[in-house]
Amino acid sequence: MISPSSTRPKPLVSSIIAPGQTFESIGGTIADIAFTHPMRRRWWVAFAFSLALVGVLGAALLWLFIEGVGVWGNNIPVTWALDIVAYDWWIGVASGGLLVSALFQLLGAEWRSALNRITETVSLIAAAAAAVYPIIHLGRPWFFYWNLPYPNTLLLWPQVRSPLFWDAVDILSFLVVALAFWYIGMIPDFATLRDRAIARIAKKDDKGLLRAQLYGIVALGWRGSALHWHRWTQAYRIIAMLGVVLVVSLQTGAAVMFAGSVEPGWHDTLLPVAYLFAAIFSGVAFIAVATVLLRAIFGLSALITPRHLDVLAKLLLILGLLNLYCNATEFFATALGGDAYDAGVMHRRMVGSQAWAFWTIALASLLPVHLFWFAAIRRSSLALFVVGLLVALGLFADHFMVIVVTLQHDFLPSAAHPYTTSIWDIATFIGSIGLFLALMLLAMRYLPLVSIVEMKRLAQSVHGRRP
Amino acid sequence: MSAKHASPAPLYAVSAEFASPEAVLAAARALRGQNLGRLDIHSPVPLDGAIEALGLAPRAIPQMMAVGACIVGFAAMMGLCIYATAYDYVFNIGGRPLISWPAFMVPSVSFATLLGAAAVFLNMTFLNRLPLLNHPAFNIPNFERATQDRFFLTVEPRHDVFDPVAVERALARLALRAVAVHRVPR
Repeated sequence: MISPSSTRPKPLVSSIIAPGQTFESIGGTIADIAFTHPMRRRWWVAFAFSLALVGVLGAALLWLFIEGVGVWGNNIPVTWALDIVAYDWWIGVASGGLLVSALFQLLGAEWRSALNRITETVSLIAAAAAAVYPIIHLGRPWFFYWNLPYPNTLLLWPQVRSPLFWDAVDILSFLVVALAFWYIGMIPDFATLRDRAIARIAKKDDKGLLRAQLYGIVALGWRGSALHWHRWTQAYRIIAMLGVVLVVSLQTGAAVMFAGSVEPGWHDTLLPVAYLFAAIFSGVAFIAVATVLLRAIFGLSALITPRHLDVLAKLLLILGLLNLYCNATEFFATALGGDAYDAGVMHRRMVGSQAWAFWTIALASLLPVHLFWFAAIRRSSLALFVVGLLVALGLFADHFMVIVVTLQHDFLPSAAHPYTTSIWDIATFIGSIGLFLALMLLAMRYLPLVSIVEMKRLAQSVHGRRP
Repeated sequence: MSAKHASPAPLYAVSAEFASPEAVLAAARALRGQNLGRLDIHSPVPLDGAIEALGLAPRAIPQMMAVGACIVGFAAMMGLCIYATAYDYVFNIGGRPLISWPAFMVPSVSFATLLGAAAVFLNMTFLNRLPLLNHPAFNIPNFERATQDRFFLTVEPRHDVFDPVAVERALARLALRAVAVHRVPR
């Protein structure tokens, strides 16, 4: 529960919501996006573009299923390339989003209200984009269920010590937790949309009976009873806590999966923490980009204020510093650690055939966040948008560097083999971005992407007790 | 204040519509001790202090559900891994321990959160009796604003003896008066 407003300094809180916002105006502003569909043409152009990219994904997958994973340019020893890179990147974005929104929820920071729904949605949709990969990267994807422990005539078990099994459990758990967290927050907002849709029908503004019925069904008949709210608040908080546990398990588990091999460069004891920080970094970068876009497209500057941009920029700066620390510590530990193979991998990361990845990390994700030392830049939508995209790109390069540079040359020179990415590999990845964008645009169109309930609670605590 | 009298249908409740959270909470506190019926508040946002104002004492069921489901989920996945590797399909490579539990931690913790989240969500919907698409509360006039900006106090019959007139009198005595009072049919 939000603590009473009287204990909070007034200038701070009043900058996180524009003055004069009432319960009615908040509900109206957010619900109108779902009902009246502003910026219709721009939305359709963006949606058509995203659908075209989804078509690219379809074509790439079709060719993949006909020809096999060889079309990706994966070879021996680089058996993992963009498939795992993209999966790790997407699940990192999803993890970061879930962790940040869960912490928003648990810490009850007042400025979170306008952001937590975007955060949850980015997290869920990124997980959906990630969920494409574990199945398609199997050589025979139609046997994906061989990963699961089910009774079979051969009396075989899946190898439960294998990261492949862990990943199957992890992604399933992530989808369930993220979906529960996202949906539980959405139920009261669906009820608001249902009631506004009915009111619009009564006023003859609208013929949207089907819409009212659909929102009514997904609202589960929510009526806002005091005991319901009590249980809802409890359940929301508990699922948030479970989300934090899951993200920590998932990202540190990813480091354990790497450490389970003998390959050089994957064994630093800092890596579990480094992966967690990298995931949060990419998650916040995505949230920043999505927030700026949503604010610009739907004109939500009364609800998403420059202070929110400022908070996101500060988060990016802090996470950039944490990631810099992890990278630097890994570098020094390797340089001073005395393992020649680890040192060799570190050397190839910086000057080898895939050195672009290392320099992309440095120049795109670690360097630009330092612009946010300046207050004026922190409040600029454009700066946040550009830096967010750069950070996301840099962290993609991070996953690429960690996986490919180690794999293509581990111990024996005779086992080394160069790797080049194929056009189909890139097409699959671009297609997964298209899938993310298409689902995101649908969510922006039909769902309240700013939480109506949270904004009303905020208005209640900021503008005194009268709504 | 408008009151409908002599409604032939059986009553669901007497409802009072308020314009502010303070008013509805004050009304709940005032009516709580008078043994008029079962009180409930319907509001667009969770109200701090609503549970106390209504004199309700919900038990910590969600917390127990979460902890229980997490323990069950963790034990189930850990048990599955141990059963598979150490008992049902023993396949020892290099003399390594059969029960290599650190390798089973990642799926066990993840599965614990899966069961925990699912249990907490289902528990919330079950205790709240949702989904329930129709409910007498929706018969309250102007109830669509319960999700917008109005706060409704309902007094439902708890016993066979229910006196709507007494409820309406109690509501009329409030300092912060209701915007509207209705007898709501079932």
